[in-house]
Amino acid sequence: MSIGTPKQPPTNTNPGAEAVPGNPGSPGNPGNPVDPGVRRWTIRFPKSLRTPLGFVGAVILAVWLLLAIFAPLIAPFDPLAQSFSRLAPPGGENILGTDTLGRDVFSRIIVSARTTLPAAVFVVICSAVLGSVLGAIAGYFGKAVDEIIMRIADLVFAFPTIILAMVIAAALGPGLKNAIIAILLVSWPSYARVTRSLVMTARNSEYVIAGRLLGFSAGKSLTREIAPNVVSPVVVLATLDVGSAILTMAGLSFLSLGVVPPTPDWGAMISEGVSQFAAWWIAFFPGLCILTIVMAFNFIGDSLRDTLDPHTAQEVGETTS
Amino acid sequence: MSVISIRDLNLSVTTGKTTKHILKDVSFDLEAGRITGVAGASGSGKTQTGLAVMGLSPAGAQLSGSIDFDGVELVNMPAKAHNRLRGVQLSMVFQDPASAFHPMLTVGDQITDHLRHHQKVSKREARERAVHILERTKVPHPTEAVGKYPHQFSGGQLQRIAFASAIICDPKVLIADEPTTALDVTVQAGILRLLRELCDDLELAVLLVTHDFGVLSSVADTIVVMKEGVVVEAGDREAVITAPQHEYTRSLIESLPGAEVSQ
Amino acid sequence: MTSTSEPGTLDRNPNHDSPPAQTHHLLELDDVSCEYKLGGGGRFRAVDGVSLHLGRSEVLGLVGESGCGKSTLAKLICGLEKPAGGAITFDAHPVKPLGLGRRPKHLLGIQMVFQNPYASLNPRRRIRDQLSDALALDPGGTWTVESLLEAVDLPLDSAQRYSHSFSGGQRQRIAIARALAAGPKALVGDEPIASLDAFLQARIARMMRDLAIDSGASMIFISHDLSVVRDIADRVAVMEAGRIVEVGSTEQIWNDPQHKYTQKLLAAIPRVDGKGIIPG
Repeated sequence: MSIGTPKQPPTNTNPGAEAVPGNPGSPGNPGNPVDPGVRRWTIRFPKSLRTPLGFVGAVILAVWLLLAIFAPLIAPFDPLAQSFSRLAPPGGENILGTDTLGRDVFSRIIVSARTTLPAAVFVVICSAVLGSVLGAIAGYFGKAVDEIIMRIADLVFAFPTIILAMVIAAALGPGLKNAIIAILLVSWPSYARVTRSLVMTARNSEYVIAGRLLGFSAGKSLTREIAPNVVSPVVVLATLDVGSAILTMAGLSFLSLGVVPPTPDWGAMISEGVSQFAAWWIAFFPGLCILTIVMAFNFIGDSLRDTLDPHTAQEVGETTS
Repeated sequence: MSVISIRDLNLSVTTGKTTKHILKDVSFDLEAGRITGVAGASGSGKTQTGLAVMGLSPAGAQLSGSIDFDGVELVNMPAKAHNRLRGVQLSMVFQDPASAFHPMLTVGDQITDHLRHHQKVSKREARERAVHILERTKVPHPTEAVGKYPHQFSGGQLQRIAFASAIICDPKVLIADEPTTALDVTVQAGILRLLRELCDDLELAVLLVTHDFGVLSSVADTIVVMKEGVVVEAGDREAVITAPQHEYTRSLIESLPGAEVSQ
Repeated sequence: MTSTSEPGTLDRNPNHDSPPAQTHHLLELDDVSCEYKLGGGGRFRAVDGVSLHLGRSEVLGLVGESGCGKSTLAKLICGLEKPAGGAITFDAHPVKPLGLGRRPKHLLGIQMVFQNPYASLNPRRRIRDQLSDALALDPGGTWTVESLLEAVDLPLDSAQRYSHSFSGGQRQRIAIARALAAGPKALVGDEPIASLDAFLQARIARMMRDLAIDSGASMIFISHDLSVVRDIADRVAVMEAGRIVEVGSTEQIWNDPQHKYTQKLLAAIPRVDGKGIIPG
């Protein structure tokens, strides 16, 4: 959901530092002068990054964000400029070598991050919003509405993600925009499922019923009462999903269904490298990029889940407010 | 003579960086054939006192002081040694009978489980003991009851079964933590009567934890009043209820609905 | 069973063609039933032909043991359950089951305080927001968030906090404040004190009574605890197995119970006299 993004930049170098001292003991400490509302959004996310893996993930992601933002300044060469030093191995003038057309691999990698990262985050936000809105409607209203939405979701679930994405992308034609649409169409159902079950539980809880007795309409009930209790798991899911969105996108461009050459893209670079077995670096470094960034998102997502999961919710409830 | 003698019991629980003192210098005795009632509001440490005797203090708990059980020191006793006592010499009944039983096992299996574990009796003999003990706690149709599942019983019957399970190994100490709070008032009287009978007939030393002075007034012999981990008053039932010495006890009794006290 | 008790107090009125008699009561239940489907295809009649009324500025205690249908009755009154038969009238309007739509304005005068204060407050919203939502229902009302908190004896800074920093008793007081904020004419308390310490029960119950009566509302107070009900109710209805077995003034029920079940309930209350007598 949209609040996922403002919370994401962990570039804030020491995220948890000022947050932690206020946390322990707060349950029995109602007179705590720190406004709990402010703490809720500024502290919960960094706190969850204080697990070792979460911290590693945050650091990796921070490095990638910096590389992507300052790519034009950092990139030593024009990523599209071809040169005569084809297939130059790493270590020379081109630190990560050059590809078959003599383009600098390092420059292509970091410039590629500029499209891949925002696109992945964008597609995840869109599918999280679409999926959870549909899921919330299904869960709240039930009956026929539920049946229709969830059967469509089941239909999508019935296909392997990458294959369905390929079919859609192939039908729409190659290009970043179509790849995004394809990923969006295949990834919303998981949000719908999660949100649906959460909403179904919440709608029968007494605080929602109390709201209904106060005359809340369905929309108000959903947005005011239920949404705040449903958002965290969806945020966790979305964070974990950024990694798989990047993978799917790379997969599509590997199959020439994503970003159109010559625009640099990790998947396309790997695809090119596969045919150049001797020049291992062409495929290796983009692969490494995908690996690290997917790992980073998974680490962050995992540690987020550990702190926000229903199983540990009690502990979180006590420590975060 | 006291079966259990608690002296200067202190309990603190550390979670993260904070340490909470739950019990502060708690001292009282449990005597055979007598019911000692511990009263207090929630958070007063009354349940934790019972759990400390059972060796079931929460993770991160530090105990100090002494709980003397027939010459055996229970404080900081190795877990294995405590396991050998628990269920045999020390037993416990909890507040909610519905969640005290495993839903998928028969009642007979559950009340004889610890008997077979501790005393190595045969399955057949265990069953006979189970029928006998259910009869003892006045569970209707004990022979059929051993083969039934928990959901087939009402709350009051389940609590009787819980008592049966607690006394099947002939314990010396029984800790009853709010045993009637989840029950209807008409059922409560029956359970209290059962508790009184078991205590008298089996010479049990009973620790009855409750927030209900009505219950204490009915069955307790001695009343211990706790507030924030401290024993504020202890004495005979009638003395504590009719002439409370401590202001806190007085305020607790005065806070009860007028009808209960005046009549 | 119903017919054995005094018809006058029961207000059992099979003649639907006499509305004038009904209008002077705030809330009127006429032969209301409610059924649940059972797994085996059978039906369980949780509420069976209940007729009852609630006057203005009156506290009616509804007493019964678990499973007697008193919670179902509370839900029926609030429109949270669909009756299998009978009619519920609130302020001359029929109470219709709450569907997916908005609750009709004329029924907002019925508000409820739930049993479990740990479930009835939204864990992710501030107390202020939850109270403000209720205040918005009654724009002409005199309550403010601050005056509400003061009325239920909570510090003013509670408004900024979330529910889990409060104890059970404090949460229940917030729930009471929320119900009051809506300016109800009928407050339904469904075992509002059952999950509280004995020492808090009477205090919270009296607080509910005082606040309801002071704000001109009536209250149905559901409890299994006759002694608390005696403290606060003007009239008491005793329920057993889905039926009302006895209705009467609190004094009459307490001193001269007619029905066997009422007598049994009363006899089971342990007295705090230190005599060591087990009731019953």
